[in-house]
Amino acid sequence: MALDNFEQELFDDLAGYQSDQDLNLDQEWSDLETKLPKKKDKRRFFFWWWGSSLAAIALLVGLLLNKNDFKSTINEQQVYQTSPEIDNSNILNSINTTEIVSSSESIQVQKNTTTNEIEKDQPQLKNSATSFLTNANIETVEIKNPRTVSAPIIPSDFRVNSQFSKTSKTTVNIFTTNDQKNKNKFIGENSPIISIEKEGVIEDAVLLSNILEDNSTIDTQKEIAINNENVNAIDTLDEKEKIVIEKAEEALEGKLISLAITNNWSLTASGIYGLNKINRTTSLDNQSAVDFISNYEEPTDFAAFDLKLMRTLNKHISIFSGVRWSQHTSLFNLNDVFDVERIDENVLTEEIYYLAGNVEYNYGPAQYNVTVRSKLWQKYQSISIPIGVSVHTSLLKKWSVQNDFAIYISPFQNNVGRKVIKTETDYFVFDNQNYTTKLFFGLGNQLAVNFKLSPKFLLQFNFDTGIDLSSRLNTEQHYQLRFSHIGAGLGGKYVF
Amino acid sequence: MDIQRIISGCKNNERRAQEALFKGYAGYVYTICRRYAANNEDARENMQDVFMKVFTKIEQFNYEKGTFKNWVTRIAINHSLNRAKVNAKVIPIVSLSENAFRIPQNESSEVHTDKQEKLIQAIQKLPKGYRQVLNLYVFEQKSHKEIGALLNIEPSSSRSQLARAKTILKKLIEDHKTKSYGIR
Repeated sequence: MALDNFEQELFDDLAGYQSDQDLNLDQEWSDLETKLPKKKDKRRFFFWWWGSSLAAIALLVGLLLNKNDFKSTINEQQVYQTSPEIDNSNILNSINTTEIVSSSESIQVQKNTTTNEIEKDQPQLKNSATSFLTNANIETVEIKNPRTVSAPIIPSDFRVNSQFSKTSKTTVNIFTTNDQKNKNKFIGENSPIISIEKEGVIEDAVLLSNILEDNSTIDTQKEIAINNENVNAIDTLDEKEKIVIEKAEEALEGKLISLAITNNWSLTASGIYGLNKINRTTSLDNQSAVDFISNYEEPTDFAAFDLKLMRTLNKHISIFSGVRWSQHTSLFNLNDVFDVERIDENVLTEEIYYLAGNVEYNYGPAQYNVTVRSKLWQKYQSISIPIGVSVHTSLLKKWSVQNDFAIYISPFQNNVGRKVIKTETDYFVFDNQNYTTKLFFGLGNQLAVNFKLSPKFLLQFNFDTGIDLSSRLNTEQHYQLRFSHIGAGLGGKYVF
Repeated sequence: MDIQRIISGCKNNERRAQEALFKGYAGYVYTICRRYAANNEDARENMQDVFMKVFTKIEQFNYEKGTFKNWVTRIAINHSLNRAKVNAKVIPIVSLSENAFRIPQNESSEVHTDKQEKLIQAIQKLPKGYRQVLNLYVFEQKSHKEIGALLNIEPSSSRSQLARAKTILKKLIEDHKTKSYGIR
């Protein structure tokens, strides 16, 4: 290939010529720098760093609020009036027999002991109670409850986490102090109160479900078990002594106690909104198509709706499953002109006006421009099933914090929207619904702060993160498509 | 900083290395883009796109396959060829016959008075297809067969477009000389 004189002159003039005199390099660099992607690992680091930081802050705030809440619920004004009836309480002491008196206004305390067990030290019990035990193998004490109306004892729906078939445990605190203020502090607003009179000594037993933070005014603290499904009896864990309390259901007057929150089942509904990030990779030969899509498709937002059924295993751990509908939205924003090559249709490619005034029209299968200006919304919807573990602070308190970690299995997808895919010589419109999808897996973490509106209903503020572990699209035919998201939401939790 | 260290830094997404590379090659890339674009604004935009590609694809650069300058040149030319801009419309030649190569008023006051600048401006005035063929043939030293493959046109079409490009370019240069010296 030899250049003629004119071509050679052009080459000589321009081949080595560099024209940057009208370029402001600093300004150009500044413009370019804003478009350059940030370091990937940094971006990932910041994504999780932010998530972890927010989680830590929320946990800290939750714990602080929890602590304060305990103090704030002290009802200084609440004075439990000791009924005059209490002075007339009758204790039935029947040795070697078990007598349970069912009465709507009575509490029966039954203690079973054995001779060997009497030898054991019972320092936490008052002397009178100890001697009471030593003198009897089986004792039944009937006490008229002076507060069956003003302060419920144990409501029928009272449950404490159970790891056994019928027995659960909690803590009973027995007060003998006359300091009414401190007594009220632990009694609280809704806690069940058991008043026991034994040989002239009045003991208040308060169920606080192991959440005592200050036991300085408690004379005796016993871990007890709630026995049977109707929850009308309390057994000590120490089998040598058994306390059976039957309470008056009608005395509850419809009140529910806060311990009900530790029930076994709860249902949570919440909505989440946030940002998403697309990760699109391929091992196929269609890298250019993937690059093209990546250049024009920008992630916008993330929305999800959760329904979670949760089973409480113990005070701090629950397991859950349910269903999540989620939508990752992105915008395919194209404003471009394509050079299109059509071989099956003739188009006017040129109009040549010769200097002599002649006009030549060139028709043929050749390049021509196609302008595409579109904002095409892409919606990637899925229905997932979470299987997870929840770790939480005590749900009994006004404020609580929980962290739900789950694996998501997503069998259903609905991808809505169209894309314009450009090839070297042509373009075509592709409908997202034509992509073949597949079941995919993901990991999700939700940190939530609960606010107890009522004993059975909690308002939930949550912070949600998640990442797809596998591709949503069939990778044999398409590229790997994975999303991650970060979001915040609001929900409600109902305790059965 | 030598080019290898700069490239290594760019592969690690280091801003300082990217800035050094950009400032070292901006003029070169810009000149290529100007030759292929219809105006300087499009060329500037193309140059930014080229460097975006360079920085995002620099992992793919391999010394064994050629020099970095050749790699950047290939990206700049490919991008210029592929990128069809809204503003890069072919100036109707009907107007060229009347007002051929009339430098716009705002540009005539600029300092670009040297021969190369005028040549580049003249090339920019060529219809897009002619401009691409001329650039590929004269500056990239491609054969008509290669140009045909690149632009998806017949080699004969490439040949005829080159001829027309030269005719128009000569006319534009002639007209410019005539106007510059006030000869009619």
